Amino acid sequence: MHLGDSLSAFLDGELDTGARSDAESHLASCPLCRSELEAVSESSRMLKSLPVAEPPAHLVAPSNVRHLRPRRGRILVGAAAAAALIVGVGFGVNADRAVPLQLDEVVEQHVARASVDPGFNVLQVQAVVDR
Amino acid sequence: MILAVALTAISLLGTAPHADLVDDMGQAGDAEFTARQLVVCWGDDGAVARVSDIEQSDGMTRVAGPDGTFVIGDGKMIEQYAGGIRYLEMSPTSAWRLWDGYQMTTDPPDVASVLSSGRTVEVTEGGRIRARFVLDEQTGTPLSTQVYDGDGSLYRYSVMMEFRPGDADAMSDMDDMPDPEYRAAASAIDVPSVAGHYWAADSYAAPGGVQVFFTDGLFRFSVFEVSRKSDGGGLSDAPDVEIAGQSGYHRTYTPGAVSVFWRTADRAYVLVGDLPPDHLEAVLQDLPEPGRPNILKRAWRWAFG
Repeated sequence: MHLGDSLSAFLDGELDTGARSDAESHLASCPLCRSELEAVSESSRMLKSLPVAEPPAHLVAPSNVRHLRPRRGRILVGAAAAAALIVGVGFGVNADRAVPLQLDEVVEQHVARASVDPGFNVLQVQAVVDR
Repeated sequence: MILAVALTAISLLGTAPHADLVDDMGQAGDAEFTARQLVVCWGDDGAVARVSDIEQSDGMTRVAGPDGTFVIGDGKMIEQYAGGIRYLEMSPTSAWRLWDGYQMTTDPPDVASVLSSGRTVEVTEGGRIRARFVLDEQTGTPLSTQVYDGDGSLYRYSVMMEFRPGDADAMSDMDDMPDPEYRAAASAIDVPSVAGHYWAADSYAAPGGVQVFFTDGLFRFSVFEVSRKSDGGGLSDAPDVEIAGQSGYHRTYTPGAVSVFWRTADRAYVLVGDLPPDHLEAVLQDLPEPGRPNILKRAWRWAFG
């Protein structure tokens, strides 16, 4: 079985260790998937390397859309999105890759909220110290 | 919370009117003690356990861990570590209540306890045991807690190996406190208001996203809705497990909590809580499913971020 949609996830680093290892093994023995990966990788590289540009203000200003009737508004928003796509493909907007998540902060915030419940128990503290 | 359940049971079966329950809970929450606690949780990959030294006074619980000292209670979380002190504070307004699917009995006759000085409270769900608590007669503090999975197997066990009421100072060594970081209310985009039998009590701004706090009065969890580009804080390296027939979940256990990370086509989610496995399975079925964006969505992100 070929990698299919997993190729782009592989490329974006979204596969876990096991799935990534499986994908690498498959790629080592499947020229079709290797070729597809190269094509997807090249497309990704091209899109990411496009120069940064600010879209024209009138294209995104909400005041141009806010007062329109719903149907006409949808058409205009759709047209703006299509235009933005063209502008984006032409000028591109780069973005950072993975956003780091501080798991300890997430756990601590959960415990802080949980501690408000009456009869708060020391079990909750374990979630923090064993993060 | 465990204590709250126990006190609820006691008030229902005993003579204390409901109006006294809040006072009872407040008194128990303010009990002063020092203790050494063992907590064991049986996850899919075997048991995880920890022994902690605990100190409680004035409604605050202090635990010294290898990475620092934590003081938690009343919506406050104070972390003292090598780099300083972090002080988080929240002020929820939602009222606590217990799910009506739980039934409670005090001192069931067929339960023997190694902690003979305590009184026992059992919580059942649909006729099956869900939790059992042994409470200290003097302070109401849970000396022993057992939480069961839906199939009746023991999921988490905690016991006070040492317990000394009185003479505690949970706030000791906490000098030069900084101003607290307040968490304002916020709304998640794709998180429903009910998951399993749990209800969303409130939600807050959180690091990188939004926190939605769910509870059934006995157990509780938070769902953090974050950017799909989130790295999961290391959780994405956990094994990809199938839950309720759906793959794409990354799950880890600590003695006190289970953590699950997954990505949908548009966002990523972290669930942290103390709920048992069968409840977790039911909850996840009501939350956004794991998924991947198609190639067009990826192309859009590659171009626009």
